[in-house]
Amino acid sequence: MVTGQDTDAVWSQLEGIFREVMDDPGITIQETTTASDISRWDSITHVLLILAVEKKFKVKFRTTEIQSLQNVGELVALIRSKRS
Amino acid sequence: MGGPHEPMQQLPDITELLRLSKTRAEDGAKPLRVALLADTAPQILASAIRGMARACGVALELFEEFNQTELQVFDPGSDLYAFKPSTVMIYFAGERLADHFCGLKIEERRNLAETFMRNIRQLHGALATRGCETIVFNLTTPRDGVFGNFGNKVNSSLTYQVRMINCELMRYAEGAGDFHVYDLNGLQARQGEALTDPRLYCSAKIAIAPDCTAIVARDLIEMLTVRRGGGRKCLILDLDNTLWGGVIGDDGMERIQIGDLGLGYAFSRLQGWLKQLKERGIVLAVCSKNDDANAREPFLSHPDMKLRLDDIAVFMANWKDKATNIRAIRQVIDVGMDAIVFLDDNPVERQLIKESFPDMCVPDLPEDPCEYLPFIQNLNLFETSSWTATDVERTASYQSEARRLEASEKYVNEDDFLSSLEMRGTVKPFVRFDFPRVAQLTQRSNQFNLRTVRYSEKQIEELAASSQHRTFSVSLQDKFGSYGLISVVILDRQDDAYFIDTWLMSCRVLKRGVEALVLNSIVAAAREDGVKEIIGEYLPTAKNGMVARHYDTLGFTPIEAGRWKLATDDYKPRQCQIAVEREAEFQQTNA
Repeated sequence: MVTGQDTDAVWSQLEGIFREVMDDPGITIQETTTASDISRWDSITHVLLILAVEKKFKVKFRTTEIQSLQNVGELVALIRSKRS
Repeated sequence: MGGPHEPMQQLPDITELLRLSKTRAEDGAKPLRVALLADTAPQILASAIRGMARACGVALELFEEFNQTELQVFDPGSDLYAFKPSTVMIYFAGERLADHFCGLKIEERRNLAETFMRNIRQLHGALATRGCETIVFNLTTPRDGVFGNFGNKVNSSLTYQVRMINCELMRYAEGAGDFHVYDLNGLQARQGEALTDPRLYCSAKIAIAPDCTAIVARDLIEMLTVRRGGGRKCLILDLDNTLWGGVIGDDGMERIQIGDLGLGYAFSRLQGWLKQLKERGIVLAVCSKNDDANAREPFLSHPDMKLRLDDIAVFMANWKDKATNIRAIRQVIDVGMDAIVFLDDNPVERQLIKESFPDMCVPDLPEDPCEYLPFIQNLNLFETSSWTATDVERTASYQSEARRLEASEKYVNEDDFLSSLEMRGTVKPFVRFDFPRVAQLTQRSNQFNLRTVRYSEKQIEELAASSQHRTFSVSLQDKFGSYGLISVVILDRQDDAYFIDTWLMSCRVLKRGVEALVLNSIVAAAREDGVKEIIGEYLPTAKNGMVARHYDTLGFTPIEAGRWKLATDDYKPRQCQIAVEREAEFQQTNA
């Protein structure tokens, strides 16, 4: 069961990871956020972001899953699907 | 976060390193210029190296390039050379070699190590002619299931060839002063599967998992800085529950734990390793709260002790506080605080030492003695860029120094003491046998060093052969023993004057009158060459304050800030208590 509260926690934790990896406390994320919206979201920070997400949520992504992500909303959905 | 010499027991993670890599370096220090050439994506490793340099307070400029190693190295007009690196790090990944290996015919597979090494030699040769030092990463051991264990018997297997390459790299490095190996394979042995993330390798050609890059970066920074005068030289040891189990004062010889049995074995293993450090040239000292006689007894007569009294340069066992004793140890072993490691099982003592001497390296030993050795080995505290005969003799020379110190206390008059030493000095131009030691001194001397110019062995060789330069190496001995080669001077002919490019001296021979002996030799050489003027320069660093007034003291005349001159014509040789063996050698070698 995934409750709304769980989802909120995922969002805020994920936002924390974005801020830390991109080294920018002003970052906010939404369902539709993509790499083009965040200037420091480049190939390096992308790798570090994914690894940090795996560590934080104790999940492991497959390469195809990582490659098919279109935006932050899909990342959250992926995290939720791995944890449920 | 500490200075370059404090071991980071908790390394910053890659996110932190990435953040640090984007911060600006403090102005001032001349940066190390280093290139990283890799055949896998180098960006994350490069960021880690930059970040680690910032974390360690090391000024570093890094150039990185992906998949262009040969193009960059063999093209004299390449971006690499435009960057003017002093060191080039080459990382050929084992994973890439495995890809290449698949496409080879059996015969070519058998020759892989040979082909690989030919390329390495050519790369090194090209870099050496451009004055760059080379660091090559050795290869990780492949996950090669093609032949299973049988691969160790088949010379066309990848496992076989990779191991050959790693051996060949070591052999080649042994004979080349400016070629070094970074032991990535050793790191793989400790990290195992964690060293590589197959997903990142397949999708982004990232061969070293980001979480491991901090360790690689730490190791590389150590390798790079140690040749600029870093490097730890002395290890101060507690005794009870550090070198043996139990308390010698309470338990006595029969009950302390050392030897092959039980927990004693953990201490035996540690002692065996410490003995190797001593043989390499790390100076061991003891600092223990104990009665002196009790503390010495195991070293003298316990059958299972691997360390003996003659392995210990300075032995301090008493009831004074450890900070006081460490100051006393440094009376004899006068290395910088940041060159000292302090090993003690007691966290309270460690804390006191950390507070008294913030630059000293004080590892937080694990609680279980079985873990002491692997823990301290993993910290990689004793990186070095050279190893010479002098290193091996170091403990003996500090033991002589301790005896000198004892003798000096009998004399009220400094001159009487110096004369009692019966010193003999030798001054001669650099000769081949001395090149490694001379280069090492230029790399390691920080305190008595007027301009702190660092030279590689190859550069020393070139200076020795140069007609524009005169070189002096000075050795000293006295009735207590030899100090070895302790001072280096390089004169550069500039018009009608000799400019003192380098003047350095080991602090072990301070206040012996060596400076006077050296200046007499410099002036004598200048007169031989008809040179009328000697120009000295002092370039201040954080560590060489002791020689700020060097040229004033020796009677030079100030020209401008930081520069002095001395006329050779009206120079009167300075008095010193060292019998000289000089002229004969000079005339011979210059004939």
